[in-house]
Amino acid sequence: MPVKALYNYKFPPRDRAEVFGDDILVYAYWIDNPFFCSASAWRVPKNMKWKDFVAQIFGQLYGLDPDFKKVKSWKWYHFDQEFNPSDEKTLAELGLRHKSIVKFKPA
Amino acid sequence: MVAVETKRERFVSVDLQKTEEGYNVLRAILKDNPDAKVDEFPGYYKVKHSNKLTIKRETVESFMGRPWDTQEFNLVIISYSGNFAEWDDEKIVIQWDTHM
Amino acid sequence: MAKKKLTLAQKYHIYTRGLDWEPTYVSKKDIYPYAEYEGIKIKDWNKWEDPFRMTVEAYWKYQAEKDRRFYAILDGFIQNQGHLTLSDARYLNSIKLFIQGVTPLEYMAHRGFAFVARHLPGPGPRTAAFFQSMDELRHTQIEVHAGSNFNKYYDGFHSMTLMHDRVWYLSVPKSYFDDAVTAGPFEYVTAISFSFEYALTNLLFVPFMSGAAYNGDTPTMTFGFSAQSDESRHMTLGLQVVKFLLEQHEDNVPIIQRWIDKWWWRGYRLTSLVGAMMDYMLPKRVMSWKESFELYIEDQILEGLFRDLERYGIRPPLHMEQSIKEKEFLSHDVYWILFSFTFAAAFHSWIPKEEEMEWLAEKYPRTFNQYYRWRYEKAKQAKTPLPGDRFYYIGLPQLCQVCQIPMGFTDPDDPNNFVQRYVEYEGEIYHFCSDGCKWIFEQEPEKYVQAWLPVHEIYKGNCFAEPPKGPDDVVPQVLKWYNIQTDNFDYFVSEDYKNWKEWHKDMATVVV
Repeated sequence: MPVKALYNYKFPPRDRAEVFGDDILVYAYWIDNPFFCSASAWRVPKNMKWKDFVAQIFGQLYGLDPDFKKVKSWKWYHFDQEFNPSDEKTLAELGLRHKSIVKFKPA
Repeated sequence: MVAVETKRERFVSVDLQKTEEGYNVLRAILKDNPDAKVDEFPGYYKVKHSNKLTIKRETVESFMGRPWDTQEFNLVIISYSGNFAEWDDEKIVIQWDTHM
Repeated sequence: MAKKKLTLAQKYHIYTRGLDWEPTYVSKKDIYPYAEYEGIKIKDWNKWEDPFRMTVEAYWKYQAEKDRRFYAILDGFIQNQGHLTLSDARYLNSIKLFIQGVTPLEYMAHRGFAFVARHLPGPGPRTAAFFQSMDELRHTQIEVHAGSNFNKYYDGFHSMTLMHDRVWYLSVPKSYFDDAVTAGPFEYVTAISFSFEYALTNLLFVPFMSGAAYNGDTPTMTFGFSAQSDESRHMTLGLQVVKFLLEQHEDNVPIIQRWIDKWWWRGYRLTSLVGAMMDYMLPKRVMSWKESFELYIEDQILEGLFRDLERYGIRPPLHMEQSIKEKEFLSHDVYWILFSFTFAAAFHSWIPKEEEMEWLAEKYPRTFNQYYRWRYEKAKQAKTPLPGDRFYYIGLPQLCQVCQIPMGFTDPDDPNNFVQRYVEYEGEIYHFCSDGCKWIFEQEPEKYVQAWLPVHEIYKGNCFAEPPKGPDDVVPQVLKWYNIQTDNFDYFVSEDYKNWKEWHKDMATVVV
């Protein structure tokens, strides 16, 4: 439904992909663990390798959970689709796009 | 899934400041509306009635011991639930289901 | 012979409609350019009546009296060093949130009602909106005056307007009101007078202010009740305007219903901050969020108001049932968010004391021990390099595109997870905390694609005092831009706590 206005109401999205250049925003969410009060947001290069992305979010944030080190391996989802990212591929190669959300839980 | 508890009650109400004037208005309301009930909270009273509350100038004046304009009700009311069905020089009536 | 005194009704008619006139050399359309584009149809503005029958003369008289009473109480509190007799300095963190988040909205409401008072073609509602515009300015002033006393002794009160424009959690109230003032006059009145004032401000100004009284803060109680007494008039304006619009033309009904659906959810999400203030930040508690919700929303609004509106073809707001399902989760979710990000906030948080956790468990027997208590136990174990012996979320959260709150609202059907929704619109993805916020976006995507989301703005480099010198300098530069000085981190490492202990060192009652 359009916005009712006295003029043509049309503006570019403030956080559209092009504003971030070679980077994208990616959200991360630990399934079944509300200790982290919401999914997290990251600005990362499209060409970042998957393993570097994981190292960043685990190293900075998710490793703070005392139960984190008990987890040996993780199961991943892109939005709600299960996926098996390989460490050396880039985020773009894995199909991640601007404002993708990746979710994970202990395998 | 967590079950939702809900119990609902329909009433009209007015929330009054717990001040000397508020107390006099409260006493007048209780006198003119015998079925009204009061809940007390820090700082305020909540007066409820199942369908109607009437505030009469004359009764308020008898408790205040001085003339009282119905617009002075603005100084003691905090909030209400219902409609102001009537507000004139003699009385204020709060109830649901009034047409304009 | 003395003239007979005019009755209230006669006075009201003379001083409102009697002062209006029909234009002769300018068309009505040119005078009221915003009156038609929202699609609202009005046949007869004279059908509108203010039950309060307020005239300018009466307005000055009673408002002046309200102010005199307020300032007498404020002066007494200041002269008696009243701040030292508060229940605990932790209490003031709820007042910091109020001053930073609500007071600037009072000012925006003043502007919004000035617009309505100028642009509604009917003299009755125009007069009522004019009074409300002045009321809102008065509220801003008395709240600033009450807060300025606390500003002499405590952190978090020093920069409310700048913070309101910049700080992440304050974009929640700011974006809410920006949404309302950028609508037309009829939507604005439905949003603020009806949905917010009639339905939701009771939660803010009645049980919460009663809590202020209970915690020894008489100035806040007094400005709260003084403001809410005006609010009674504002509620009446909202109710009368909505009923009037519904009676004027049947085409107005679906438009009003859609506004009620939208603004219920917008206001309810905003009010969730009050839930956290009531359940966690008041050392002495009057009633829980859930109890106030049941009394003021379920009884007064659903059982009362909406049954009264049925005959106009209006049903309760679209996502009301979800609000009811959330009532045992909401305050806990929001406090947990505020707690997690206190390193970047202009208030303090803390792990609830054992007896406070027991109160929470008693008030929320289905949820607190089951889903929330363990987080605080874990928070004591999960240390970070930041001040305070507890957990902080060292990162930035995903925000809801509409309400702008971090996406941390529990799904009552799956209580170990948060609700997450998204849509794709013109090639871009947008995320939402709830079906309510997603629905609002889908009604007017062009409006919400422009949202100024604090997290994304930080990532775009728009929120630094100076360019960060390295990764460790990012947060400090954001805090500097926010003008947050010693206002953040856990209460028990704060200046407030240190001072409070010092001021009470000879008393046995100090809270440790």
